[in-house]
Amino acid sequence: MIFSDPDVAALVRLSFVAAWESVRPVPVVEIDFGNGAKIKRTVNGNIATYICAPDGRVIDIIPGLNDPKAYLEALRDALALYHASRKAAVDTVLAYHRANQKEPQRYVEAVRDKGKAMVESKLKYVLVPRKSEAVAPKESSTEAALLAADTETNCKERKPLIHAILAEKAWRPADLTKRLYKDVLHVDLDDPYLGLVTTAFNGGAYGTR
Amino acid sequence: MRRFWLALPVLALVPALFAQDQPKKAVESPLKRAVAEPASEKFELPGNGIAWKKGLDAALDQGRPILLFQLLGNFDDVYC
Repeated sequence: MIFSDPDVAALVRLSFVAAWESVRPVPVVEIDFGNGAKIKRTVNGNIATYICAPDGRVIDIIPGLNDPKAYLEALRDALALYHASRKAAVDTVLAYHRANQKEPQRYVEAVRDKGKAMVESKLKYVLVPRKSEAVAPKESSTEAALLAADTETNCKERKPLIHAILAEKAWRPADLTKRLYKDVLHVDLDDPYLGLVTTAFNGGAYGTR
Repeated sequence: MRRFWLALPVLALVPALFAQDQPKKAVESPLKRAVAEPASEKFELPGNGIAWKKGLDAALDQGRPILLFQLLGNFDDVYC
């Protein structure tokens, strides 16, 4: 968990007021092996970190799961932007995001085959049993590889999309959440199936049942 | 002294008994905590000292920037 990293925890503790909110109940994946054995896991990779001014204006957003180093760097950048923007808040934040706009790198996994990739990669991710830190402080190579891939996608595809959105105007998290999840994280919060039924299973013989 | 030697095999089993109960404990103790304590608007993740507030409104106007962590599900269910 990202906030277990001592450097991340220290920066959050010292420099931010930390808050959390749920955007919807967490999806649960259950595999029934047919012999009475079942595995049940939550799919909890669809997260976003908003960095806001004390009045709630959005300064920056860190999308998705990231490795601690990238997350820490993003937090420091956002903190620097916050301090730089204290005199001319809106203008500075808009100018920063406008200056950082660039064409997002589109990932085959994330765009063309996102349903399959989302189902498969998150399934793989959640089905790898989590080890408690006391037992195994280091992640397995599978987890580390998935996290590294997520971090790269966040940086090269999702972050440019976020710059473009935040360059439009000053936002409040509540006004932005659905768009962020749909356009950047590819999760439609208005869809009870989160967009997975039609893309991953394509209806097929079972329709959308 | 003889009693001590007789009790030794039993004493040796005690750590093993506790070890066996760890998964049971892991399930039961958060449940017991949840039942025993009313839900708090503010809680701490074990060990890292971050005081989390529930929702943006609870974090507004405190003189520091806000880190708002958005997720699917409940933070304490998923990450604690």
